[in-house]
Amino acid sequence: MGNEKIIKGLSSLPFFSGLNNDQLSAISDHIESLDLQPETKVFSEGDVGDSVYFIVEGTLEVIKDSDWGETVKLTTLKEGNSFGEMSVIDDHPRSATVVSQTKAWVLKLRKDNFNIIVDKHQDIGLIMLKKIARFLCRHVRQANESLSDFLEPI
Amino acid sequence: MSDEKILAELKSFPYTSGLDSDQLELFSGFVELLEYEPYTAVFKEGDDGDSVYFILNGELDVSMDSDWGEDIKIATLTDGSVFGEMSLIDELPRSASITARTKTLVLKLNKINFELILEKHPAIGVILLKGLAQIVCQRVRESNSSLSEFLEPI
Repeated sequence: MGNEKIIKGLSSLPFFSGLNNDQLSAISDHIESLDLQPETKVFSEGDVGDSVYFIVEGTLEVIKDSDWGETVKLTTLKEGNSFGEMSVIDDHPRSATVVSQTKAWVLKLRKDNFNIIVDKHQDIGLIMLKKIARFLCRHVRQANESLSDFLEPI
Repeated sequence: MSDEKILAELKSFPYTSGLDSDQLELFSGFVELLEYEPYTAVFKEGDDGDSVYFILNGELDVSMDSDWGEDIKIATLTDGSVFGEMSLIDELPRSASITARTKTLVLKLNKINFELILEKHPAIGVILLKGLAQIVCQRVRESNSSLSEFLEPI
């Protein structure tokens, strides 16, 4: 009944704080545990994305190629953070590259498994979808905040 | 417009295309039809608000205040577009102003009714929430791509 190591990881993550032990156990079978060495590429900008990742331990960097071909560091992610959320919602390629900076323990949820959870356990699905939607909204608000300072008045 | 007419509009609306006839009929009972005259504001940046809007017919301008206080037009929305979903999801103030440009017909879904759908009709809720998450994903991608043009390399 559920994978103990994964349940332990999930219960340390704020993303899953709305779920009880039974719910965590139910989804743990659909999640993979990854132990990353430093400087391991998790995925590259432009890759077809199929998973969302949750960092239980360690630090990772998000980088992106700018329009003139240079590498720009967008942000650093640490334990409790997630990344790749968009790929379980839509089918666009990865918008950035993610590389581990330190040793890291990451939980991976593939899109097909996410959809199985949403179909089989609607209560859990609604909680997770709300969290992802909220997280994405925060991104848009931050980006728009920065953007509005660059825009020219009409 | 009668409930039947709202239902007919919803059938051809991209956002609700995942719902079957019974689900559409249920959904139509939770939305409100509103008409705006040209140059009237639906809401202003910074307003409290928790409703999402579906444009059946018409054109609306999206604008934001720059840091130096000017109103900057960032987009125009037309039939089939959705706006206001971020405040529904995260309950934060409106991130932009929306003003009708032409005579405009919209459907409005408020937070109370949205939560009622999620609670009473989770199967519809999952479809609606996935649709909203997809819209926010699209906004993240648009913002990120505009922003990357301004970022300095490391």
